[in-house]
Amino acid sequence: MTRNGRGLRLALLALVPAAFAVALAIGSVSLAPATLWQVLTGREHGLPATLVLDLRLPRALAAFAVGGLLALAGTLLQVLLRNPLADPYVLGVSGGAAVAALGSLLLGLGSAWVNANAFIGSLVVMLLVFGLSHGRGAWTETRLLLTGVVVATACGAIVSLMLALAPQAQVSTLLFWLLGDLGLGNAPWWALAVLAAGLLLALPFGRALNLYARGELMAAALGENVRRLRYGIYFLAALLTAAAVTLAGAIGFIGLVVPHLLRLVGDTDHRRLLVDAALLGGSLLVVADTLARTVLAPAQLPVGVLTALLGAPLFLYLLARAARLP
Amino acid sequence: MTPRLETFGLTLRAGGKRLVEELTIGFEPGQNWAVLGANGSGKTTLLHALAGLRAAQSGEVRLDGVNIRELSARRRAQQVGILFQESPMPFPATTFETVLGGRHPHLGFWQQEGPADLEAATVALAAVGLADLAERPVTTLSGGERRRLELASLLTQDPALCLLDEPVNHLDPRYQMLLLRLVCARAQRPGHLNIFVLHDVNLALRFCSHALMLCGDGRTRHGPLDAVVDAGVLESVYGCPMREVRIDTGRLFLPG
Repeated sequence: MTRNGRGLRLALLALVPAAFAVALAIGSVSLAPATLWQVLTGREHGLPATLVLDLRLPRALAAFAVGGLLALAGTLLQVLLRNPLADPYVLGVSGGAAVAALGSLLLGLGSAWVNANAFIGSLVVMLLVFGLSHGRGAWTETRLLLTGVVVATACGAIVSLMLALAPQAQVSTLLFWLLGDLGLGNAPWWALAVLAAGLLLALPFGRALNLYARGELMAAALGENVRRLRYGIYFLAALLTAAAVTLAGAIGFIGLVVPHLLRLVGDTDHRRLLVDAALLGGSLLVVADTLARTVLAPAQLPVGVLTALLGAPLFLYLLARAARLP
Repeated sequence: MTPRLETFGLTLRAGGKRLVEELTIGFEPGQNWAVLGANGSGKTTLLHALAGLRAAQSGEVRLDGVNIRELSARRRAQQVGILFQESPMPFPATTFETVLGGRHPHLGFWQQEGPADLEAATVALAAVGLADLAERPVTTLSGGERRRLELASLLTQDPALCLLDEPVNHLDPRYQMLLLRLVCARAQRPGHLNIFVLHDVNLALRFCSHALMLCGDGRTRHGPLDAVVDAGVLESVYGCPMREVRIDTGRLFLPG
């Protein structure tokens, strides 16, 4: 690792506890740093302990896992599509989850069913897009991208139809799911496990990803089995996205902006970038979720709205810079 | 000498057009081959097939007697390297990182680059005159600098067989000479040979020992360069008049 890369990694490793400290201390009842410290070291058992350990910590962990999953999936898909402006939702995985989740909500199913169906919906779209883009003719990233975009658009149309036909009372529930929210994220451990597993699976391929980013032919010429690599990246990225969407809905911009930001500051070797993206994506979503539940307290904003509001101008700025690149 | 790379009845078509029909040819160590032909005659397609990156309509390419499409990509890349005509680089990376990618086929799945790999990349960058730009993002390099970077990546890969698609594109005369000398000299190493796709017949005359000419209709002519190349053949290949000029070091062909 270069000196520059090590400095960045240290900064990110410092950012993670800082983001968690903010998330645990701030809320309807804000805690002084000393109180937070006492809670975390087990010397305080009252209301602050309940607040931190039972409410804020699980939510912050869920936010970290989801942010990390989205940033990791975004990094992988940008390489797969060889397009620095791709995001985890470009292949329609979130659209499939949304159709299934909203359908389940309309049918009045419980939250466990909503989550399970969202996951199944995203898997169906994952396979559908994969099958369609491998139809007759050669596979190209353009074909995959277009197939994904069209399927995502079709899912969007079905979602709009459901919103139009839904009883007035249910519309806000549906919208909340669509915009992405961590309020229901009380099962963070499996999401963290998925994130860790995803990183462990992706990391050994970091060097191959560096080559794949320069084109399939280049990767093949330098000894990679590109078909296996392509399938691996696709399914891993789709599963990571499906896990994130199932836990928190379609939270935008994290998966798009985080890898892009890191590349801009010189984090270009994927063996480093994959880990750094997970750390930064996780930390950013922890902070964004803290803002979402405090800015208009006692009202809670869907965190997806916040990431979009903050992410859109940031992304436009990056896009303007990218126009100068060849 | 036994050929290292051979084709047997190789037939290549693209978009319904016959590019190469039933080509049987052997490339031996010590040889520098020039692949010549008009635009769209199939030079790049042939080079990709020779590198094992493209399936043939019929026939096969063999590396040391083994069908190259049946070798693992990694085993193949340890022996055969290719310089592409164009290499997109949509993501930022430093010059050094990019060149170091050439070591990929020589590293195990769990292995990291060691001092010898870093050394190879450093030496290759110095050889193409890019030592000072090692930490520059590739997106800021000029066309000629990028071409040299791609060559450095090939040198870092250090394959015995180098296939180069228009290697002197974007290069000024100084670097054209420097890099062709550098690559051609590698053919003197045991078991090494090069195949160049070139547009400049005169560069081929100067640097290559053998020529493979694509006539554009599937037919080919190949053999020692001096025996294969004359004004009449070039006129039929390129479809334009060619004039032969004698100079003290040999001969030149001028179009028009």
